[in-house]
Amino acid sequence: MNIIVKKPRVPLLIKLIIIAIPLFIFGYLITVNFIIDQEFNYFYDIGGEEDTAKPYLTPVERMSEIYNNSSENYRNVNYDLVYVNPPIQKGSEYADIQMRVIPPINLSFLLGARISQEWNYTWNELNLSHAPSGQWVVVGKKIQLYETYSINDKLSMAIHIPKFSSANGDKFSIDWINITVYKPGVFS
Amino acid sequence: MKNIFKGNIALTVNHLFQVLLVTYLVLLLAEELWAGVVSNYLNLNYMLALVIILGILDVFSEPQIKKQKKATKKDYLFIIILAIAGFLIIKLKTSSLGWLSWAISIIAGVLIALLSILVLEDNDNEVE
Repeated sequence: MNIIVKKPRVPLLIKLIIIAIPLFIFGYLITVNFIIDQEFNYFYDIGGEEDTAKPYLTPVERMSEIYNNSSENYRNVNYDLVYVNPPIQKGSEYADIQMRVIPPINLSFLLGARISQEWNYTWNELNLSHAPSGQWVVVGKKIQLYETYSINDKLSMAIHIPKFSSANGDKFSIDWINITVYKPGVFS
Repeated sequence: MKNIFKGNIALTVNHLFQVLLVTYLVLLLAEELWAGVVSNYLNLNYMLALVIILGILDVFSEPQIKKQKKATKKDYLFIIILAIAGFLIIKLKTSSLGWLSWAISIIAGVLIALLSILVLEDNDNEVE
C-alpha cells in the first residue's frame, strides 16, 4: 500500500501577493525619491508650543524670550546672526523661504545658506523697501541649494542683520518662518 | 506548545514573515546609508510592529520540516558576496576615520566570512 503524504505548499496566488508587497514598497520609494518632483514644507512657529520646548532659532542667547499678544507669539532678535537648520533632501534644487517679521528700520537684512565646512555662507538680501516701518510683513526669498553644505542632511541657514544692535534701539521680531524645499525628479 | 496555524496557513505565515523581515532589514540598511530616503515617506516603526507580530505568529505555527543539504559552491559564493557587502557598508559608514576605517571594515568582512563558513560547515557535519 502506498501512502501519499501531501506536502503543504503556499498557493501560487498568495505567493505572488506576498512577493508583490516588497516590490510595491521598493517601487514606491524609487518613484518618490528619484522619479517625481517633491516639495517639502517646514513651518517654524516662533513662540509656538514646539519653539517653547526647543527653540528653533539658535543660539538661544541671541534671541529674546517669547512675547505674546492677542494675535501672535513671537521672539525678538537680540544680537546679530541667528540660525535655523531645516532638513534638506539630497538633490534638492532650491528653498523658498517666507518669514513674517517686523523688520529693522534702515538696516539691510540678509538670509544666508552654508556652503562649506568652514563658517562660509552665501548671502541673499531681502528687499524691505516697501515694508511699512514697525509693522508685521511677510518677506521671502528663493535660495539655490546646489552648492550648499549640509551636515546630517540639515542645512544651516543664517539670519544676518549687519550693524544690528538692540542696545541702540534696533528691533527685529520674527513670528514664523516657512521653508518649502523643492526637489526635482529625474524627468524635470 | 500548541500550534495556532497548521499546513498551508502556517507556511503562508512563515513565508510572509521571511519576506517582510528581509524587506524591513533592507529598508533599514538603506535608511542608515542614505538618511531620509525611507523615513521621509514611510514610518519604519509600523513595519517593525508588523514583522514582530508575524514573527510571534510564526513561532506558534506548525514548524516546517526542512531537509539538511550539503554546502555547495553557491553557498560559498553567497558568503563571499555577503562579506564584501559587509566590508563596503562598514567602510562607507566609517570613512571619516581614515586608516582605522580600512582596518575595521577588513576585520568585519573577514569575520562575516569566517563565521558564515563556520555555521555552514557545522551544518555539514550534522548531515554526515
